[in-house]
Amino acid sequence: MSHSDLVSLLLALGLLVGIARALGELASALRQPAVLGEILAGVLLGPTILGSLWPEATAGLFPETGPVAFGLQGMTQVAVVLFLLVAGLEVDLSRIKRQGRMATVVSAAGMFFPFALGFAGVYAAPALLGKPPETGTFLYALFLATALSISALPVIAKILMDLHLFRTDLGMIILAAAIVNDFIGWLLFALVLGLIPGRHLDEGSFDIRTTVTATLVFALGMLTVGRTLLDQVLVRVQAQAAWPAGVLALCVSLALLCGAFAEWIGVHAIFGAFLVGVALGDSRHLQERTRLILHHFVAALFAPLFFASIGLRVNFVEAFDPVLCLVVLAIACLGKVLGCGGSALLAGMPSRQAWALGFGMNARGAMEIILGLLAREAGLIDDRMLVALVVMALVTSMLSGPLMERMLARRQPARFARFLRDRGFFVLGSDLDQTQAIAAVAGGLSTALGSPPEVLLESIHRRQRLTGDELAPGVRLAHGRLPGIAAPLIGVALCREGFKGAGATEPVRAVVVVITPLEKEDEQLEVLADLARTFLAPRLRRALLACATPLEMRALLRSAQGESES
Amino acid sequence: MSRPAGQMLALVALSPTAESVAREASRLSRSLGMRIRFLHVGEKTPASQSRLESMLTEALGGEPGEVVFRSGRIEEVVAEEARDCELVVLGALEQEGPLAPLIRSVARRVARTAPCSTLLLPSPRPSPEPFRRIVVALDPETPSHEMLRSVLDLARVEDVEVLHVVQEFELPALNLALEEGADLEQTEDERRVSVLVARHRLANLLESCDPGEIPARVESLAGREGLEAIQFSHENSADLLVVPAPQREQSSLLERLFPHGTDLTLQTLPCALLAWRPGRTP
Repeated sequence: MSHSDLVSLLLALGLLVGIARALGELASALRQPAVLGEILAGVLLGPTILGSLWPEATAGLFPETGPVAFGLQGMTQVAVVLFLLVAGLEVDLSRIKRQGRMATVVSAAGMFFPFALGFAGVYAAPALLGKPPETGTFLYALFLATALSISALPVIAKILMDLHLFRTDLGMIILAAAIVNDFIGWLLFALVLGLIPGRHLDEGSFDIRTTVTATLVFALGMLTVGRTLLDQVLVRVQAQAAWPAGVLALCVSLALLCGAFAEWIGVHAIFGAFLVGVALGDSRHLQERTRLILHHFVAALFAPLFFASIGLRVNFVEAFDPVLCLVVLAIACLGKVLGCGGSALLAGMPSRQAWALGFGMNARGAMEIILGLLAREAGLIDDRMLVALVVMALVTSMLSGPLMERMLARRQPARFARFLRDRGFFVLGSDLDQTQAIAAVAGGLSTALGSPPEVLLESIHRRQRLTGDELAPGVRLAHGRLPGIAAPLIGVALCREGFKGAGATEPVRAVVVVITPLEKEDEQLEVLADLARTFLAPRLRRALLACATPLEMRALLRSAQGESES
Repeated sequence: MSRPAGQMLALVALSPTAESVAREASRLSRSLGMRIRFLHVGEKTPASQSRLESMLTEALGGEPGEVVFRSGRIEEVVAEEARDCELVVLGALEQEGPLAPLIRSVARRVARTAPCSTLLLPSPRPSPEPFRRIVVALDPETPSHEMLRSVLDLARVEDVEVLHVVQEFELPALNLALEEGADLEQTEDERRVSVLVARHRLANLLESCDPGEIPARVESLAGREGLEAIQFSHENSADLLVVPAPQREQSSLLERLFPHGTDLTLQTLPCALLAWRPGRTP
């Protein structure tokens, strides 16, 4: 690579990563999938926009041949290998059994229906579904069926988090089903790539029978002996090598090595990286912070690079076929929503929840796009189909959250602001300690309740002995439950300088006293969750701690609530 | 404890730790008001009988009482002999071998197949004392009132310093949300809120079982089910960890390859472990 080639390559990489990351952040801020912004960066810099306005600039920055193109392509291949490594980290197949029959049914139907529709669709109308003449019908049908049946776990996780559905039964069923869908989908896709004619014709490559045998042995070996060995290696590396460099290097090098091995035996490199991810993810020694670093490493650098590179390779205007886009979108949604939603309904889930589950599972996102690009590179599909898959992935990702929310039509959860009592609001001096502050608030609330403060305090102390009182930095929770009260009662004691004697590392500036009805557990937990979310948000917490009156606090809470809901 | 006429079966081998296992079992049987029977799985010869009886006499400081000799596969013999028992006590390795998911050790097989609760003693103390720091890890999906009540009874008998009531839970794929634009703070907050809600749900459960004056604390542990309880027990210097007993039926290859919950806990015992089974139980 010459001096000027190196300059060009670094310039191209810098622009791609920088602009893609910036647009990804912008998309996230607008509550859209980050991948939308990242692809848009490629569309802006590639043949679709910059290339049509100033072709020399695109050709100069991102040449289609030569060392720079080779370097860029190599980087995107590494990106996809690492993407599959982190996807594999979250695969925990035992979860499907733990979530029970419903998750198994949803997962199976969520694979089968879109798969069957896609497969049959290609045989019924190959031209309508964009089959290139040179691609075999079986292989194309297998690819499209797999592409339609896969789900995007990252999008689903983000949607569930935004809708506060993560730890609900519905959320857990969706996650378990999507994990299995992803696992089977990627294995199937690796098989499809392995079946592409010509892949086994290179000098030194294996015939298809050897490839299939080697693949099976490799997969079984990785999930049994390989997993145990990895576990042992991981514990030694984490104990003896510098952190996080040692463990990161181990994970990345294993993904690349196994990717190379998978490619050598005739399946795609993603297969090896994915299996390494599954094996590592299951290790009892893989620390949570190591996982987080790996996710950050890939999400911040490699994902933008990969998704932006799609826009560089395809002219989205020329390759946009509205009919094909609509057909692919319709089949994808029909198969997934009907398959998952319908099966959940038949398995006994209430109808609104069942359809919400169907819409949740319908999100395709980044996974679909990776799959599309790899298929295009393998010559299996053309640009029209790639664009149709990208459109489908983006539309389903954008629609999933709003449709789920609309379908669930949940009642408003119990909010902290609603139950805040004027008589329980105090701004106190630093001469009082936390116990005195709790007593003051309990006294105020007991007037509203009409029972002696000792009853409240006894209930609070009983709970504190069991659970402790940590709520957020500088904020303590004093919680009790009483029988026979109609609604929760909340009071707050604030102290600008911090209560006397409390907080070893950070002064305690607020004590929130929450009394809930003994008989209403749902309401109790909703109020506590809302309190935690409220006080964990640093800006809102600072503003709340500076309030002088209950009215001011209520107004602040209502406006924050309005913002989060909009 | 709640059933004074209950029976305990203590499994003893002719091994270096057998004496300690016998002492621990004997102490517990007195505390719980249970009748103890010793079982040795192996051929009954005059030599083995004499060795075992003298070992037990020395360990217990007197006549050992009923000692049964049986031959066969240990877990099958225990399943048969423990039909009328409330508790099986036996020694166990602290750490399973590398092929643990595929080839389980005797103690783990017994814990899986015994008809009642099983107490595994990885490093029995030479002079046993009551369990003073107990951790009970309730089932993550369906925490059992019966199990909690039973452990509260045990905590009263043992006069515990502290009883930690914990529940593990996972947040699968939460980290993947980072790829979709979620920031680290957002995922951390989700974790903290989930922990707080789970902790109070658990506290409600404990209050409904009336812990009375037992020094109990609840904790919800976000992380890998089966591993968090081990870590927590280590960090809190627990001397007894109580977990729900693993399922009796033969687990599938998938479950063996991807073990979770109690199966994972059983692979590394942080201290004595009581695999609790509903029905006839201490």
